[in-house]
Amino acid sequence: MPKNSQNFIGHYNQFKDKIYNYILYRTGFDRDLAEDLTSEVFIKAFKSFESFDKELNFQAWIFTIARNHLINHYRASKKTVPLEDMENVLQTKSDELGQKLEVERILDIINRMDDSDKDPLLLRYSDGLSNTEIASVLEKDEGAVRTQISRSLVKLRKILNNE
Amino acid sequence: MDNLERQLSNLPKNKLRLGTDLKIRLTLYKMIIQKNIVHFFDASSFKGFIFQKAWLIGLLVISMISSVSFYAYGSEQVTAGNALYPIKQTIETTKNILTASTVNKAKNYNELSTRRLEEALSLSNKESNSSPEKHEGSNHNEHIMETIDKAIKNFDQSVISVEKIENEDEKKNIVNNLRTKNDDNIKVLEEIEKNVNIKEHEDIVEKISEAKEKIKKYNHYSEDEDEDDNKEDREDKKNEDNKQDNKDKQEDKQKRN
Repeated sequence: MPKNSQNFIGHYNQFKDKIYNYILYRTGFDRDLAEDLTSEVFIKAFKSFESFDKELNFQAWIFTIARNHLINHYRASKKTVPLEDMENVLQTKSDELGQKLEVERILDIINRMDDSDKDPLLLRYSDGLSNTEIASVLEKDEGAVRTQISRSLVKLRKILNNE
Repeated sequence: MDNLERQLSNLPKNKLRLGTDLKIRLTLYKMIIQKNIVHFFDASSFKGFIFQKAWLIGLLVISMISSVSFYAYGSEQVTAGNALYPIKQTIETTKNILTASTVNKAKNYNELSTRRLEEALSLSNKESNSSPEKHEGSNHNEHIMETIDKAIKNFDQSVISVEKIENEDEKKNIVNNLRTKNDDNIKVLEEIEKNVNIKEHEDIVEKISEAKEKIKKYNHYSEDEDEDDNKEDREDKKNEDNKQDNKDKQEDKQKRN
């Protein structure tokens, strides 16, 4: 297998779960849809992998593709993010953490927040991206991302305290 | 990191199901294979290599064929039983077909006859230098016989071609050349005879005798023909001289009268 293809498979192994998780959070925890979209994201990435500058951060690059793919998906289907399935996921996952109610609440609030607040928060805390990577995915500068995250946290905290 | 941030960091991290993971992996491998195949036949790689180097490969093949053919045609060592012998014969036949004039055809056949005898000599040298066991059961002797036989046939063909020459002067020149070469050919045949074991290879010896006899017979015949021609020439000259004498005598007589 050529080195380029080997590299891509290596990246796939490293980021498949992160991309799936990222998409899952943004598809209202629709597993099937998230899996399909994850598959499409990696196929898309493979097709344009030759044009990817190897000096750049692959994580930021693949998250950008995933984000754009999601935008295109919702634009084409003209749907909003459904939240019906969220409880099922939370049921299983939050049981492990022992924080079901709190996590459910937080996620519910985040999902109701504007994209400009929701995206940096999920990218930072759910997907574990650094501020630099988030800046790259959202096409903003790092300082703006840092400010946006702290503002979003303030908003979230406010809503949590008020509800 | 405050409590909220900690809680956010603890948001569930979902993993891709194994079945889906395998499905995506398979799709990617399929694409990698397709891409590699396309890349291999792409103009910049495989096609490019083939087309860019085609002339070089062609040149190499042509030069190899030419060298082999040149060697096969020119070498006495390429004899019957040799892998290159058919190439040699093909070139000779082609050369003969392309020869239009009867004079050149006669020359060609004579040259072929000489070449065959040289080959037979080369085969007989191998025969004399090797142990009897080495050629036992092989068709080495058959090759010698076959080669001498071809030499005889070529010689016959050259004689037929000579007879077809209409220009008498050209014919005489060719016959003279043929006779000189025939003398050399007889010497070659004698050498072959020395190389082969007379007792063991009576058939070859017989073939050699047949060839020698044929060549000698032709030489005698052509010499006789020459003598006859000379005789006729002499008689013609004598008659002309007599006629001239008579004419002169008559003129003298008339003058005196």
